[in-house]
Amino acid sequence: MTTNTTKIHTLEPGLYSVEKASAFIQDGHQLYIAGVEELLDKLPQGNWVGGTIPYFLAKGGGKQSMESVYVHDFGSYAKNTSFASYGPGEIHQASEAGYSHGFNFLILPAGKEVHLKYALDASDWPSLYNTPLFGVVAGVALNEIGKKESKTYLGTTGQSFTDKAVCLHVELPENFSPRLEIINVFEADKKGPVLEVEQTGFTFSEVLINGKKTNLANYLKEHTIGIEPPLVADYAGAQVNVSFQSNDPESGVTSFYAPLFEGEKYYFSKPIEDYAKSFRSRLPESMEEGELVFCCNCILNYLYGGLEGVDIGFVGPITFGEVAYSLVNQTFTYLIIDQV
Amino acid sequence: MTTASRKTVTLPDKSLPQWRQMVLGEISHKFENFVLSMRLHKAQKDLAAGKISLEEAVDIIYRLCQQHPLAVKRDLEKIF
Repeated sequence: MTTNTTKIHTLEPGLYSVEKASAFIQDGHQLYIAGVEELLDKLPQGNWVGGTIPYFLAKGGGKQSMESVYVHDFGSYAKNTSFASYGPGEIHQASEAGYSHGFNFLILPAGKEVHLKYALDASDWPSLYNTPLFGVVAGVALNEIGKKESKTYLGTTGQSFTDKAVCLHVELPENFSPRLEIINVFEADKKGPVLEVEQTGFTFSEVLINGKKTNLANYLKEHTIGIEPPLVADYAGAQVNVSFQSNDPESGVTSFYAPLFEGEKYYFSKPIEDYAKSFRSRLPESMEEGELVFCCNCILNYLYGGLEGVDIGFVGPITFGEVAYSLVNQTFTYLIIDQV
Repeated sequence: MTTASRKTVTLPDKSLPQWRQMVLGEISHKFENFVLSMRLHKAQKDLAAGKISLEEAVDIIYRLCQQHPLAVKRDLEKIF
């Protein structure tokens, strides 16, 4: 809940003017800032990382803003912080280069090699699960997809990138324990067909449906299965989504926003009638035990779940993909800090 | 299990059968904690592929629980 975020934040997370955000930077806060390129480009050099996105979970409901930026102060509860950028060949350092007790906040530029490499490789990084690795995929306004590129920002050097990830490594005091969790309203329909792939990838013609080679694009058309809900895999109880990017029965090609992995079983998801209602019903008791310090949700939930103007009780950025150790899609992701 | 501080948390003994059952997917428990589910899934896949032994898989999960004692507390309390 939004009230949970105020206890250990010295600066309440939310939407601010560029002038306010600039003042926070100049005051020495250690920040994540999200907004449109035109606004992020105006921010001064300082201790911040950023990523483009014009959509937000805000007080009063989800909204698009071209005038405000989302500001999140990660430094208010940190013992130490460090800021870095990583290209495709270095992206594994997002989990290796951090502190032994803390977390790593990662921002990836959408659709670029570093994003795809992270999506494909992260689950095999030896250090992945040592400390929480979470974050966002930067994006652009939906009507600018294909015309504009998402950007990441490394405020410490004053650089911005379209091809590099940026990362804020945070060390926490010993009595703060970070816990990364998700809320996924989509659930694997295990009574339905099982989908598997013979080779890991993002784009497919044929997949195995109940063990039989099948053209997925035509299967979806023939069975009038929409591509708004994701495919879901069951990772020992965690429901992990892979969202459809496009489906073209004419060419017979189906694309996804995250990879389908060889050896995994995927299912169509059980239908959801009302995203916000379903979301609220899944808020876990464990959320109340610590303090929620950061959350984000996916652009596809914002879009298909009708979150514009709908308040689900949280404040944070909307993303083009969520970093929750691995890359996930259509998933509300949050970080709790338990104090002992 | 005590949770007085991160350094003094005592996990259930590693020789208890539940650890092996977790890794083998033989436990009827819906895991709540995300990192435990994700790491278990990876360990189960690596075990099935012959990349690691059962003992190594148990070591991996036990070590994860040592690293994230508060995060996995609710699950472990239900399992043990």
